[in-house]
Amino acid sequence: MSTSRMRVVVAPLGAAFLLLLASSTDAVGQTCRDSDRLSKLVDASVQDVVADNDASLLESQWPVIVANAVALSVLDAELKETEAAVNRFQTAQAETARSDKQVGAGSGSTGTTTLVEKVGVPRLLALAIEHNAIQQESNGTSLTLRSTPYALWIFLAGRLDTPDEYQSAGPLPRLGLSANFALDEGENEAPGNLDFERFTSFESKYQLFGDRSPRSVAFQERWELEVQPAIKKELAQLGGLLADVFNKPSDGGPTGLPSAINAASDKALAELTKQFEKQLGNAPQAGTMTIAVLGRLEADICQPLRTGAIAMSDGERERIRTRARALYAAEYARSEARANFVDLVKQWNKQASGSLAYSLSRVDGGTDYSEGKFILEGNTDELFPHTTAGLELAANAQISFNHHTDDANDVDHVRDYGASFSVGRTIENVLTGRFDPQGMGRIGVSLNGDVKRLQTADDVLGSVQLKFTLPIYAGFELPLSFSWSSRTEEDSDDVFRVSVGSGLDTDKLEAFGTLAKGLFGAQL
Amino acid sequence: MIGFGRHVSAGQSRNRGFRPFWRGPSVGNRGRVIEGVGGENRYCGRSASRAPPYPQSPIDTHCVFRGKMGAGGKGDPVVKQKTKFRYAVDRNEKVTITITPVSVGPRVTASENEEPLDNIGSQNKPKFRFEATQVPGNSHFVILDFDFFDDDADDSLFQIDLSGSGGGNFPDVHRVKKTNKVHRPVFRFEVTA
Repeated sequence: MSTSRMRVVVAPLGAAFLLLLASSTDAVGQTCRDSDRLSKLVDASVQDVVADNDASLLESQWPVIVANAVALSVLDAELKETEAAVNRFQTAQAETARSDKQVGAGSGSTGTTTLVEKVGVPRLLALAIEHNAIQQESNGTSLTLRSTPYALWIFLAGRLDTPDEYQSAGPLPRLGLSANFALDEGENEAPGNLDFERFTSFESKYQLFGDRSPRSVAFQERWELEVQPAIKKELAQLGGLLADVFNKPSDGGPTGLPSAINAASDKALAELTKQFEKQLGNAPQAGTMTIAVLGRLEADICQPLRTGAIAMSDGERERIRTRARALYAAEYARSEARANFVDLVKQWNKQASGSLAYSLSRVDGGTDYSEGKFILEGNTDELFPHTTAGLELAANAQISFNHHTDDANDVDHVRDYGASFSVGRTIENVLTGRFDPQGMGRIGVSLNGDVKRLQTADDVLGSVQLKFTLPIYAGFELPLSFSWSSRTEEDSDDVFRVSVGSGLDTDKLEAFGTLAKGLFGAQL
Repeated sequence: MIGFGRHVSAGQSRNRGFRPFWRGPSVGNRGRVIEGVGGENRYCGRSASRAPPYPQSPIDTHCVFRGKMGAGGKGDPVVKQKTKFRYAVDRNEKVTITITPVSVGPRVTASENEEPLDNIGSQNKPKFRFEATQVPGNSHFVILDFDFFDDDADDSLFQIDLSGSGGGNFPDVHRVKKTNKVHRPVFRFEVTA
């Protein structure tokens, strides 16, 4: 799900949430087994128990699970709907996060067989890969090893990669290194040795400015400003619920509920933990274990509360209901704050940055060469503080040198050079609202330039292009460009061209299809 | 902006000693005998099952004490571990929780019952403290919320250490990893006297 779609989910849910809080209806009971909220809480703990092979992890949020089971017994229709709205929102958020990136298994995990291990790398290299000091990637014919001097230092010195180490390492974390090795078919099947005969290229890249890491001080400060206040409010309500459920009231009120809940909770946890310890040694099934916990909660907490076997006074009921209402509101606010922050992070990742890169390439039967490159990208207002044009800029320049010259074969010292730039922005679309009820996209305007050496003609080719991207209807764009080149590959005369193309925006087309379906229903 | 390191105040934890890679990262002391405050030994980790006999709850599989651990060796430790997530504390005891982020920014938030806990440590190594003021039989629930992002390394984690002002030191009591499903563990401290 895209960011823009996520925002669409947030707004109506937010309105529904406020409406639900304002409504009030009769009391409705709910069993522990039926509760999505409880299932999710239990399932998270059980999955950790299985993944880490540690039954004691069931206790990591056991008080939260029990307190939520108690809160279920005081849910009226209003709170039930409120709780469901929070669940729906959090589920949508979790799905968005999953579609962005999957958390992969570490190289040290069991069951992963990597090419590096297959080709029999030296032990130190394998150890560095196992400790994530070096990352590996393979497409079947080549193997890439990536690292930073910082990660290597942390690994070799046996240090912990703490924020203090990261910040005191200065520029080291911003220097990236990578090396490519050729692999052949046989090596994927039979172990061999990774040696420098198979080395094909090396690249280093240093980020001059624009630290986009979530470990940067600026990221931390923004998180503390945008997200942490909402987390604090949520934790205060959750902690309050735990105290309401497990602690005797300080005002000297009835103590029957906390005593009964503590006894039932401790007994259930001890027995479930013992049961899980046995199951962990025998192909544990997380689903079965979750059902066992929910069944136990139903038998020991929810049902006794519904039938009155565990008595709850009117005062206790009202206190827990008030707390649950406040907790659900705080959870919603936290989820919303975090979703907004994730959007902010996406913008953050577009902030201005500049980097220098150096690469060395080996050429079979030819001359090895080195290449230097400068890359600049970001908004011009950020890059040049005294400007206000707000243009998106991307520019790079590169030059490469042959390691050996060969007059007989026309191999110069300078192998190649070139530079390119692109500046652009969007402007208001004059057609908005005239043809398209969904609203037209903005018009894109960009100026692109390119200079490169034509080795075959021993000349330089320069070109400039002015390009407009015109949204003309939902899902349809019309690119229009005017370009000039100093020459072509074949001809030394300059050329001026006007091009008109067509383009489809599939996202917008899909939105148009949905709209049309809504308007015309089954006729489509 | 290019940074070239920063000055570290005397109060900040900076172990600069060289530890060769073949000894592995110096996280915690799992499965080793730890020197206690009162000069007694403590067994941590899975090797705890091989420690000499000691009083232990049925689900206690982590750190255990033997002998005297209180301040000045005058009695049992004031903070006693019942399980990894459950402790017994004396009234007026101050409990300190120290967080070490590994390969991740220090994005942690803490609360004790309904009170937010302020970070009394450095920004990079957060530390939280509360005083056991509940009546005996009641508990202090400390919730630690760790916030991971997609761009954090897959092996990033937070290490949690606990200690009591009058005794009881529990280094590396629990680790919350990015790959875990539960990023918000709850530690329960029951007031006993």
